Amino acid sequence: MAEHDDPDDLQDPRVSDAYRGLGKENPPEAIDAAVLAASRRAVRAGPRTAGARVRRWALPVSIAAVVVLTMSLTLRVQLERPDLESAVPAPSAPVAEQARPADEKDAPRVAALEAKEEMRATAKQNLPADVRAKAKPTAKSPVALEPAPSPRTAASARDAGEREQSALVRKAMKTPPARTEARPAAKRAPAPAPAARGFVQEPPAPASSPAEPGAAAPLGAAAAPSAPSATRPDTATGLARQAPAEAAASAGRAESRMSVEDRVQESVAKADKADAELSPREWLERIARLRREGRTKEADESLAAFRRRYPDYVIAKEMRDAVLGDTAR
Amino acid sequence: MEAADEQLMIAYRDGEAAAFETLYARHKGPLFRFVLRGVKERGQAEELFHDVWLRVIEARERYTPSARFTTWLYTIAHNRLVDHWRRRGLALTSLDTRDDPDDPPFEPAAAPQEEPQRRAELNEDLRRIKDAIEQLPPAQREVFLLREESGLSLPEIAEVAGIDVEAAKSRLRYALAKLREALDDG
Repeated sequence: MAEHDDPDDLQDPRVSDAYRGLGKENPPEAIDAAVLAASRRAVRAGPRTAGARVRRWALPVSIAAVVVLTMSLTLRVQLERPDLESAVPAPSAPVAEQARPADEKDAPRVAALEAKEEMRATAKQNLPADVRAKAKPTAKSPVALEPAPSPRTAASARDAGEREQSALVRKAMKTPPARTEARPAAKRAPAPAPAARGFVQEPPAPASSPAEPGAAAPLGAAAAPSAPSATRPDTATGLARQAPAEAAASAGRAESRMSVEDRVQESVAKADKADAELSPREWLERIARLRREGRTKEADESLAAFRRRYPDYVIAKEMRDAVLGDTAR
Repeated sequence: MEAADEQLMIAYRDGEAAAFETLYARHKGPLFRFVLRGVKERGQAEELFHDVWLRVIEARERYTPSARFTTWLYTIAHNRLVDHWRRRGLALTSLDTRDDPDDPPFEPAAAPQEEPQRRAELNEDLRRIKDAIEQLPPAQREVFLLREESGLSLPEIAEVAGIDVEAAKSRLRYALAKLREALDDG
């Protein structure tokens, strides 16, 4: 069939002539008119043309918008993490260094942890110099506490506006009051679910936790020479004077549980114990209140004690500003 | 010098209604005959022909002169005819293998519906070629009509029909052989 490759073989003049003899039929005039009218209508319909062009660009624009949104959200999350963690910089061993020996093969995870540590360091540098200076000793060595008057004298210093100020602090934390009010019942409850760590990391239960004495031991060792158990270090004097009624009651309960806390050095001031009885959030609220009342020194000292106790505690930016006061700006 | 089809279509796409009128006048006859002889019934042919041009109008914003306008126009017509044939239970494919010139003549699924008035106007040769075209398998008939009416080359016909060039050649050969045989029988 080689001849079929010849294009002439695909043409037959006799067949073509016969076909052309069938005539040159054309569409009816009515159809001509309908088609031409439709073509003119389409040209006149300018907005439809614009709409079609919009539809043509709809998909690329949608994809670009999704990409931009994803990137901005990712950046925002990464930029907000230091804000959450910078209020109380972690003084303990760097996270990346902890992760390396445990999981050296998991390079991406280690890289992420290193990035987190770097962000934390950056945020730490953004803090005022005095705050950094106070944060450093807590990371390296416990601060010796000075002797102070009895914390019992502080109870009379509470004023009537205390509850109102506390409510303001709660508002600043954007935390529902009901949750804060419910804290006394859950004050000594175990640590919260891990899912909550992303926003606010709750520390382990304060006083009643069996693991606590080990963490508090260095504090006690540092303060032991000068602080008898019945007295209060000067660093917490103001706090003791400002301690709410429940703090005093908690101190009493803590004394009754001395069998559990006998591993804690007796040099830890009772006011510190009162603070320790508080939940971290209530402690921070107290620091914020001191800051607002202009008792900066007491606030700083209480904050230092808080940092020693909860070195990895993470708080929201609003609470951080309230706790750090002018030093945060 | 007449404007090329592609320039006219671009002008119409950009809002020049007169360009479409020129295009329509240029292509309406061949396209109508391609459709009319493809579906055999005049009413259906008119409906399909109208629909093809409406699709051209609707698709004007997507038109890009990457190929000949004629190829684009007849591709739209081909797709519309495929829809038509599918609704009638006919297919364009799997006919080439059994349509050897030595095989018995193809029997259409449906008997051709003659129009007595037109039929009387044709002389015997024309009636025979007309009957032979109607009895061609749709795939072969389409290739033959595209060759006769559109003036497209075989590669362009293959593009319109969605087949390769060799398949287009094969279909055209079978179609010519059957039409030649019909004329010789007279």
